Amino acid sequence: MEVTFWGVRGSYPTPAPETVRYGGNTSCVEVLADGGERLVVDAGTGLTRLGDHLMSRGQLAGTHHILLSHLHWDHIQGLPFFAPAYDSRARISIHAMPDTAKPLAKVLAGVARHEFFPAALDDFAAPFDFHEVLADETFTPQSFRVTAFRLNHPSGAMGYRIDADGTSCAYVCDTAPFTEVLHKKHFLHGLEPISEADGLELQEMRDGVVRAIRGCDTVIYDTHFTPEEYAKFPHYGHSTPDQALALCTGIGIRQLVLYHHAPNHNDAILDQMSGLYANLGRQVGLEVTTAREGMVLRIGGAAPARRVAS
Amino acid sequence: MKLHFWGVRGFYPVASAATQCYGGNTAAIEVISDSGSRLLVDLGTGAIPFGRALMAQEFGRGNGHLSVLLTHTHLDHTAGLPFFVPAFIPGNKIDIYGAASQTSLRGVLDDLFDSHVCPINSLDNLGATLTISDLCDRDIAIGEFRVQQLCVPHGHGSGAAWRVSADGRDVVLMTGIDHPTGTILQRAADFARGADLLLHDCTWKVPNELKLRWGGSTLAQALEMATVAQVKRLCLTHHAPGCDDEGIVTMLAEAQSGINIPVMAAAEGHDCPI
Repeated sequence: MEVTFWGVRGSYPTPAPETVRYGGNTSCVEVLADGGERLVVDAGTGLTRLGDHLMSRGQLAGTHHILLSHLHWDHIQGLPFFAPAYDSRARISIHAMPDTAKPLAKVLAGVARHEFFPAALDDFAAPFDFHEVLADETFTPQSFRVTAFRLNHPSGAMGYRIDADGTSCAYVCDTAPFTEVLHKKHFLHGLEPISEADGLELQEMRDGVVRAIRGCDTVIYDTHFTPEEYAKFPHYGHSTPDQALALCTGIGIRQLVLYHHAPNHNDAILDQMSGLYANLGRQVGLEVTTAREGMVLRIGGAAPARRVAS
Repeated sequence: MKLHFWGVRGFYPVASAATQCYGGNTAAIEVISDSGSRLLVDLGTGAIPFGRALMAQEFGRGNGHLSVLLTHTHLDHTAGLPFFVPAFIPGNKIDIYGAASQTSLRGVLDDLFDSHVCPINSLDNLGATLTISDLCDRDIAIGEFRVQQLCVPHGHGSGAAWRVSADGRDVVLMTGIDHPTGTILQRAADFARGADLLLHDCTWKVPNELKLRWGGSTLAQALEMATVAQVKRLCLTHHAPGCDDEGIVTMLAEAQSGINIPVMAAAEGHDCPI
């Protein structure tokens, strides 16, 4: 199994000279099984690059499975510009958490509508189908075995553990730590006191994450903030590399990937963070890698990261 | 009067080493008068760095006032709003003017903040006071700017072309316009007539690319508009995501050889005197 990072940025794309090395496109990861089967996780602007890549290789046809962690703009804005969606030989299968009020298909159709995008989902040559994913449920797109688990983010988010080829990786994004705030549906101006029930729910959620990712070869984690930034915005629903390290230590994980970089984290800042957390990781027996756009990671082995062939 | 380009890309932002000269942020163009008054045209991702730049001024203290003209509501013209920092500061005033359509502009912009897609949940959670007006074919005064609007077809809905006048100069911004019959819209040419500068989109090389119904114009239509409207200068913008720096240089050379009016291509981070 191999993972390719097509978009590593959080919140919004940052096309700028200062972010060229780590990349400015928003969240999108491709998981490729050794047999050539593909799963895509999240559909930020990085998905447009993956679509162009598939087009250049003549791989538009067939079913494209896309797992969505949640529907915030930086995780869906590439969807209407994904090249396979314009090919009638393709089919797009979206897997995402259910909404309490209406079916996923209706929610996404309400987002991808003509006021926001030049084409609505119905206009595409490729049909879309929608699959609601429940926490702790395991499903099997192609030969992948995917287990979903709840994360702590405004309006909710789903993490995924993906098993194939006798190895596994996990996608833990977007999430706040499981301590100071329990994210629900309402808008937070700042931290709110948490009830005893909220505290128990947070503990349960954290336990669920640990249960799901235990023993994974590689974990891709939302490490949007530095500790200083987190202290200012603990209610934004994102974590720090320190929090990711703490959660991933001692549960049989080989590699932690820092991911979903804040827009203000330019190449120089990410170079510093990369060095700092690689060292801290070494002290607790974790290999820490900072995600870069175009990076290809071999899962289940210690082969060095390489760049995607363009 | 001059323009400053904060975002010149169409459809979606392009973060790539191959687009560093012309830039990858989506539509956001600042219009600045000689005395320093400003307007913003469109709220694509280019509006995000613009918003951060404003914070060093009165907007950081909560007593800024900005008017924004929207050509239409596609995300490449609005996706910057949920990340436009001055909108979060109580006391700031932001007036947004757009084209009247079947759906209210306030409703559409509010849906940008819907809890499914954005943690802010609603426009009402922004600290600043937003005034949102849908207009059609209006002529208004915003400070020292005279602003004229023409409703034009775009995509499945409608958009606006804007003509902004100050300091004895006129600029026309047509960055979301379809010419459904293939030949340019005569009333749009009348609207742009004699302008010192015309900004026109030029997303497509040939008309059959329009089959995707993404809307927008071809380079030939942009050149025809500039010629028929007898503008003094043409600036091409809303560059296609697949068009890298080299592609834009090639397109510009083609444009320059096809018209007797000076032509330029909008580039992020640059000023354009009018």
